[in-house]
Amino acid sequence: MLASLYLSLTEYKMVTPPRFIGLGNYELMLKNDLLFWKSLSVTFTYAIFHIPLALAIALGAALLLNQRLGGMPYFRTIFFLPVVLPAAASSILWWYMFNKDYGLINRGLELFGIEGPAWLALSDTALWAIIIMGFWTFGYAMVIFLAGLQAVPAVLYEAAEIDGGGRWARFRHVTLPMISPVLFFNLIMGTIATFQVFTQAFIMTNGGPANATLFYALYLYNNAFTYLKMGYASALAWALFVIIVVLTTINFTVGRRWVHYGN
Amino acid sequence: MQVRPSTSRRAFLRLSVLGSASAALLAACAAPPTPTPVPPPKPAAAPKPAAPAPTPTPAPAAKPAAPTPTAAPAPKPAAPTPTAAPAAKPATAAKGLSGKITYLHQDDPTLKVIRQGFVADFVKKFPDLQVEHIIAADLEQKRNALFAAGTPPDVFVPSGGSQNIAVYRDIALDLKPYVDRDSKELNLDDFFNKTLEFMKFKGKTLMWPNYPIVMVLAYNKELFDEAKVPYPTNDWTYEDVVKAGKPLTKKDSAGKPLQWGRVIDRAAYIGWMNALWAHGQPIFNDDVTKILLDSPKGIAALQWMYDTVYKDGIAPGPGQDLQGGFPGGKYAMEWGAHVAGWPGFRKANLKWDIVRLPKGPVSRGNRNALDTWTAAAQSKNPDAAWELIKFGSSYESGLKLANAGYAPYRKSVARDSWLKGTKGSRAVDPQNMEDYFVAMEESFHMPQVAFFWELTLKVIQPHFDLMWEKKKTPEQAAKDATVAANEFLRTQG
Repeated sequence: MLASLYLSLTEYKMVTPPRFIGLGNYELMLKNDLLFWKSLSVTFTYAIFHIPLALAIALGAALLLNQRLGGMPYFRTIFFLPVVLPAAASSILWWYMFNKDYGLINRGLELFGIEGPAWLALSDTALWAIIIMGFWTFGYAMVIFLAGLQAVPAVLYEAAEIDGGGRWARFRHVTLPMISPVLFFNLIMGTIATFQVFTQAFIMTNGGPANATLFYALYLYNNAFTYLKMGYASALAWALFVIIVVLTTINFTVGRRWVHYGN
Repeated sequence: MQVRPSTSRRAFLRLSVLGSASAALLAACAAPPTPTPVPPPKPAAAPKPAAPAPTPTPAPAAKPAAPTPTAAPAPKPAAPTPTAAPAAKPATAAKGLSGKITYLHQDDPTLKVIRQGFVADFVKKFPDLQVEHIIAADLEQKRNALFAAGTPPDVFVPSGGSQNIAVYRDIALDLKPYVDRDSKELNLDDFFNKTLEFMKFKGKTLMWPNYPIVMVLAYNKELFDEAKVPYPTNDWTYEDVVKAGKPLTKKDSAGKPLQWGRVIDRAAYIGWMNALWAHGQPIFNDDVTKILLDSPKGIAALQWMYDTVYKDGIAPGPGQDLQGGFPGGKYAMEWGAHVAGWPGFRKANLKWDIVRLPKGPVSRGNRNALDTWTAAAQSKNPDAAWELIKFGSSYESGLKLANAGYAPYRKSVARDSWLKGTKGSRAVDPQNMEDYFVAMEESFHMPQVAFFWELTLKVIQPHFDLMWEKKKTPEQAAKDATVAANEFLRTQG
């Protein structure tokens, strides 16, 4: 970490020794690098849409799996499978799924009379394609939600039912507060994971078209290994660290209001 | 009583550390070793040249292009002139070279075997010299790591080859003194001119050719026969491409493309760079402080590319590319036809051939990017490094590479491998191999600037992506890209 901090203060092409330039990289980043802001914008856009929707899907699936019905373990396994698939393999699979003429997504839309776009080839739809793809790994958050749901004391639901609470009231006043620590954990992990989105963009779109899917992690990688600007990439890495610390701090501060621990 | 002067352990440790640090600092400040050309080791027995091979029927000379007032160089259409193959008998052990050198190259099943083979022959010639292979799946990362660790490989394959020559200006050994000294042994006249020309950077020779990669036009004979369109010739112009491309483009009743007339490269600089050169437009001004995309010729070049898709309708736009590509029989013409793709064409049992790229308004604009190898400037054994490179660029090594499918850079190797036999009777396609070497001698090389990839991928391409999505006209895209690129150039200093 100390080495990367030092490198962030240098111009370093890896094949020649680092040259100290002070805060030059940070100045370039904040004042002259439009792609720094663009990559942040892409990443934040992804986060704004992906995190709440992914959590909602995961919680919904967990609620469904929390039923005492036969076959639940099989569904749990099926929903969790995408999490264990390598990201590169998933990306190639979804690349085919988004194919304009042969992909499953557009074939499905055709059934409803909708002509699907060239998802990954257009700047207006490429990011949406990656957001949609991101939902299929909801299994990770789902199993954590499931563990939280199963830890909610049944006596609380009974008490709520006795007090006349319907399903929605029980969910809002019993389930959500009781699983709030788990929800908070998934929110933090989801936020951090959002800033690490790389493989999908690298394989499916390489940041294009027109930088529409230039995620921060991909931009960092390009600077380090494609443009051989390791010093600047180190500065980007430290900026990412600061951003994640700030977001996590905000989450913890705001979380004090709505996260309820058992004690 | 005399007190013996003593040094405490702490003081001794302090002095030792200080001494070591000083020594390290002095070593780091020392000038890098410069090559000291020594007289080449004299073989015990003088090599006997093989009997000169019979001169084959020369390929018909291509018609020279019309003279042009622009910066585009006039093509040299002469067919390759064969020279006598050098000595087949290996020299006996030579004195002088010893120690160890490291050789970094890629983990490719074919290339690895060939390189290990000629190194095995090389060490027989220099038995006191060891060559350690460093074989890497990810050549670039391995190279970077070795340089960053201060243990650069003595001989290595630079990623991007001659395209990246400017990147290596500080770390590649200047081979010119060695080349000048050994020019007779190398038989420089046996090299295709452009392969040597593109190894130079500001008066230095920073790389040595491995195999050239030239743009040509590949065409699917069956698709042309089916559409009853005559095959391309070397007289074709851009207009001929459009004329042929129309009947070769097929769509179904719903308008979905089934087959395209030609491939077009929308995603990388190769496509627009070729178009600019063909229109006689250099990419940069002379001192590389400004990009010239927004010149009338630059805009015309982009407009031509754009019209190929949206006016003539013979090439795909975004989202319209067909799975399978040229080897899958989905495109009648492949513009560029990278030689690395040729095994795929053969594997697909395609009936195909090549011609030189069609003529643009000024030239054919074909690019030549060579795979190369070089020695590290920090090599501790530069003489041995050069000897390995020299040995590896011999006729015998070149012939092995050529027979494995890699384009030759020596005329004698071309004569004895790719040009063996006559058109129509060659064992593998393409039949029209002569055009490949004519194309080589009329090719351009991409600008020798270290940040070219960053400029094109990061700064220029996004504007062209929007052009392909019809969100910008070619003129708008050219102007916006020029503004952004010139700003980037300004920050590069």
